[in-house]
Amino acid sequence: MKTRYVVSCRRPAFLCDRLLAKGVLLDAIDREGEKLCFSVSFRQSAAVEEVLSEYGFDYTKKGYLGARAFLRALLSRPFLIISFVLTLALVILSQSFVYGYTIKGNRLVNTASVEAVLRENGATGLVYKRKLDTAAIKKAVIAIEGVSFAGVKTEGNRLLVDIKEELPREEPDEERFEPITSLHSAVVTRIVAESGTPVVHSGDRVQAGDLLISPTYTFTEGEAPSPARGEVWGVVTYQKEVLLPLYTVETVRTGEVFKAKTLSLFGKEIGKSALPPFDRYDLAERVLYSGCGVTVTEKTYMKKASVTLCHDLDAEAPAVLKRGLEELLLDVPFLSRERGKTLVTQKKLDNVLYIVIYYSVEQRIDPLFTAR
Amino acid sequence: MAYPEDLKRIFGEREGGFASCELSLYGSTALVVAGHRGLSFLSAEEVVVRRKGGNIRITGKDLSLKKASPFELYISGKISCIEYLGEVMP
Repeated sequence: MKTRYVVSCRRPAFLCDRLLAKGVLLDAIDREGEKLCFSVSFRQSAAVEEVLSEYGFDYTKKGYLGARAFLRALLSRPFLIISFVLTLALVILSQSFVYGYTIKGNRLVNTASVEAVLRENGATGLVYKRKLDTAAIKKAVIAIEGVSFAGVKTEGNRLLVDIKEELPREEPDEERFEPITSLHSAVVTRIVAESGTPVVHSGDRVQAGDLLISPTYTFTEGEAPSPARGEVWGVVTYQKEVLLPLYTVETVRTGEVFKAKTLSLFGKEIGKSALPPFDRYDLAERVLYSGCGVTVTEKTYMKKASVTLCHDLDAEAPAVLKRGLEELLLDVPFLSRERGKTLVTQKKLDNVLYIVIYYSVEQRIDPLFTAR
Repeated sequence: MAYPEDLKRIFGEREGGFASCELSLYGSTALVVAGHRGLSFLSAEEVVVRRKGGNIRITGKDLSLKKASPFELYISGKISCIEYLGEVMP
């Protein structure tokens, strides 16, 4: 935009020189008698007026500075006005609509469930702002499981749903302790509870699996969890039944022997192998020679036969008892064996001696690996 | 385009250089003075332009300054003479 000046001056060269020295670009220079006319850009008009005022020149301004000139210039650009009006209308129109949504703040709450709420409330697609009921949307979003609070507002052309989720449920910070239970059926003799509450007393009979020390600490106002720790001793009775029949059928060697030799070359037997001469036998093999791939083996067949033995129950009873006790002691803890007491009952029936061995021992009946 | 360098190559080294003040004369009716140092006199018959190391006097008829910038002057009219003056005019 240009500003035109009409300056009364008798020395136009001086004025031009001063203006050029200020860096002003003079355009459309013309002389009307003693008046110098020129146009400058709007931005440089301040510098021109400064020079004119400094040297006391009379001047008049013409050009596009006035409102009328501005209107005239504006109206001379109809397409500019139309585009401006259209842009303004579009801006106003676009501000009245909401298009799209942003859901944020949800980490555990499913986005699809929030989207479903928005869809139900007609908040998807292009929506007129005044028709959008944000309060209802907010209420519906808060109703979703896991949502503690929700903020629903429009930001520009988007609907913003800010979700605050419920805090995850905290597991009670409570230690769980295992109780001490009995490993055996026993009669309790001693109980030393280092921690926890003993529920049995000395002399009580307990079965395997019964509670010995509970993992609680009882005090006047109630009870609190506490690790169960301690030692429980009891008399455990191990039992073994042994039978000794009067007659038994046993297989014994008759003493009859048959020997045969075989020759093997590199592990392969040469010739026909001798058939066993007896139906029931014990076989013993002995290598006579082995060398250069040749092996000579002697096989000894010992004949066996079934015989019926008649036992002397009274004479054999101690041996049977001893053997039964040895078998019984295998179940008894090693350290408890020496303190044990043995009780034996014998009953002689028609052809059978029935022996029952009881081995009572005082030992720990709490599981050792959890007691400590 | 390195015009001053081309001139230097063709004409050789000159005192004051080539780019200090250029005059472009289009026929006898238009003159462009580039690289001036100001305007000393302006009338319909005579225009005096300051330059580095002196003045340039343009004489003719109906001379007028059409456009002026700190770097160039556009003078129109019937130009009859361009004269270089050695001294700077007050």
